[in-house]
Amino acid sequence: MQTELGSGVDFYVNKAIGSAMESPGVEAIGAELVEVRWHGRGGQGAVTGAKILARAATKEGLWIQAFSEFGPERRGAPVLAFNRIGANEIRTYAPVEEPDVVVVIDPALLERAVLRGLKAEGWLVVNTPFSPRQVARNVSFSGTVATLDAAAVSREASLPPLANIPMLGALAAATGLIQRSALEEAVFETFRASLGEETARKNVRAVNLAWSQVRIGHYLDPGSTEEENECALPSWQELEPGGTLYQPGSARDYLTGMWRSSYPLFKREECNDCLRCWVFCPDTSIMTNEGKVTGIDLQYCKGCGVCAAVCPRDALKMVPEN
Amino acid sequence: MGRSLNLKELTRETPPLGPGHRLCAGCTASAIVRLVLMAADRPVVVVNATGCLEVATTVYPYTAWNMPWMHNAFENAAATVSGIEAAYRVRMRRGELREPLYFVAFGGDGGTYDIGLQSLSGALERGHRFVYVCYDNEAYMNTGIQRSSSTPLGSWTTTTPVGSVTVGKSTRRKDLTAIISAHRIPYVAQCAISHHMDLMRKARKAFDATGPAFLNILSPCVPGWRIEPSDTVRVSQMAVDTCFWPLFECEEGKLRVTVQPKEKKPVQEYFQIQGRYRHLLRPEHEALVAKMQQEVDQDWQRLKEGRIL
Ligand code: SF4
Ligand code: SF4
Repeated sequence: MQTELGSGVDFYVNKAIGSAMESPGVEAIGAELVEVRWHGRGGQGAVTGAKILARAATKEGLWIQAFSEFGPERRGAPVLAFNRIGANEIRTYAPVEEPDVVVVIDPALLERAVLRGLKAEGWLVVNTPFSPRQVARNVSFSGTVATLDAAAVSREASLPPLANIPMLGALAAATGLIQRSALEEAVFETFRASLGEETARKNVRAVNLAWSQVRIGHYLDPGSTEEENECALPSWQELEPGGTLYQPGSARDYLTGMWRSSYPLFKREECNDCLRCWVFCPDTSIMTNEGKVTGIDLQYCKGCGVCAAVCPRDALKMVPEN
Repeated sequence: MGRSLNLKELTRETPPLGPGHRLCAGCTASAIVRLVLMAADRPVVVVNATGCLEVATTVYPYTAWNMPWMHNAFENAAATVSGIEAAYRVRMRRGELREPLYFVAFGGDGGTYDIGLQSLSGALERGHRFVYVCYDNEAYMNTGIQRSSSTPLGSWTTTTPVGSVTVGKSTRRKDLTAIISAHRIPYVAQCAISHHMDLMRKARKAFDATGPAFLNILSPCVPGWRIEPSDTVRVSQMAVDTCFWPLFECEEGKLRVTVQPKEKKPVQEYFQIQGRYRHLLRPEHEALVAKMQQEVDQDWQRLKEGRIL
C-alpha cells in the first residue's frame, strides 16, 4: 500500500477482450471514453473496487485501465483509485484529471474537494444514507447524484461493513456503464478465487441489493462548481533548490482530524495532570495551559485512542464520531 | 546540567515536531522524536534517513518539523550529519559561528541496521559529535512490511510469511546495539517509548556525550505489528516487561541495566498481543517459543552481569 517516493501507481492494465464493437456501457453514458475517480481510505477497498469494475468492463469488450495513487499517507488516510473505460484503445496513461464519474466510498470524505475536475454533466456516486438532493446541496454540485447506504446493504447481505462492492453496484446501476450480469460475474470470480464461493455469492447479493436501492437525482442549480480547489503546487521552475521549505511546522495547515472515526472525550474533573496523554499523543493534540490539560485539538487528533489507553484515571474515553 | 526534564515545563514549548504529519494513527515514531529532541538544551540540526518518519513528516509543500531538518537518502544520514557537523566545527573555529549546537540523525531500522550501516559505522569511527537515533519498528514498514535485519525470529512480515513451510522469519535479529558499542563510542543505549522518562534521561546523556552517541528505540508499528492503534504504548511496555527488549545503557564502556521489570513475564505475553506473532501460540510451535524464551533469558542474564555480548 505504501510507496517510497511519495506517490505511485500500483496496478495497470490496458487491454480489451473481444471486440470493441459492442460497447453498451460507454454508449449509454454518451462518450467514447469514461473516466472514474474513487475516493476512499486505505483499507476500504477503493482499489479493489476499481479493479473489479475493470474486470467487468472487459466482459463487455471494452478497453480498460485500473490504477491507484496514494501519497505517503498511512492507514486510514485518503486514497484515490482510477478507471478508464473506453470503446477504443486507451493511449492516455496520466492520472485522471477530469473524471466523468466520482465515487465516494467513505461518507466522511464527502466535501467539495471531491468534485475537483468533475465534469458538469458528470456523476457523483456517494455512500451515504442521505438523499441525492441533500448531497447535491451539501457540495453544490449541479450534475447527477446517486446515493446508497452501503452499510445497510452490507448488513443485509451479511457481509462485513466494506462499502466498495455495494458502491460498485450503485455506480453501475446509476450510470449504466456496465451491465448487471457482467458486474455479477466479475464480482463472483474475484471473490471465489480469494475467499471462496459462499463469500462470492454474498458479494453478488450485495451488488443486486445496491442495484435496487440506489437513489438518483439530477439537480440543475446548486451553483457553479468551477474555480476553487485548484491544485496550488508550484511548477518545477518555481521550486527552491533542493526543495527547501522555509516555514517551520507548516504541516499545521494540513488537518489530519478528518482521518478520525472516534474521538477522545475529556473529563477535566477526573484529570490529575500527570501528562501521560500529552507525552504519548502522536499528533500533539493534547492541549495544555500552564502544564494542565485543557482539551483535545480535534483539528489534528486522528482518533488513535492512545491517550485514553495510557490515562491512569477515567479522564479520557473514546467515543464514536457523531 | 542545562535544562530540567520536567514535563510541566516542557508543555510550554513549541513541540520539535508539530501536528499535521501523516504517520499512521497511533504510530510511536513522532512521540519518540519529540521526547529525544525535548531533552536537548541547545538548538538542534536534524538529519533524517529515508523512511516512514521522513516521508510522512515532509510531504511537499509542508513540513511538520519546527527545527532545521535535512533529508538526503536512505543510506547516508550518518554521512550527511557528519558533513554538517564537520562544517560547523570549521566555522566555529574561524569565528563565523558562535552558538553551540547539537546534531541528530534519525533513521528507521531499514536505514540503520541495513542500508545505512556502513556510513553510520564510518561516522562513529571518525568520532563526529552527534547523536544517532534508530527508531526501530523491526521491518521495512514504509514500503509495505518487508523483513529487515532487525526483524525478530519467528516474526511475520510480507517477505517472511507464515505457512506450512515457513514460520515467519527464520533467523535471529542482528544485535545492532552491540555492534555499535563495539565502536567504543562514549554512549550507547537501548530505549522504549513506553518508558519515556528513561528515554529522555538517556537522550540527555547522549547529547552531553563527548563524542558520537547512539540510541536504539523500540517503535511499535500499527500495520506492521498487526496491533490496534491504541495499543502501541502497551505493546512497548510488554516488550520491556518480558525482557524481549531490555533497557540498558553503555556509558564509556560500562554497561548498566536501567529498567528492571518488577516481575519478568514470559515471552508469550508479548506474542499474544501482536498479530505478527500470533501463529507462535499454536501448539506445533512450542519448541520455537521455548527457544526464543531461552535466548531472551540468556541475553538478560548477560546484560545483568554487565556484558553486552
Ligand atoms: S486519540 Fe490519539 S491523536 Fe487523538 S488526542 Fe488521543 S492520542 Fe492524540
Ligand atoms: S493521562 Fe489522564 S490524568 Fe493524565 S493528564 Fe492526561 S487526561 Fe489527565
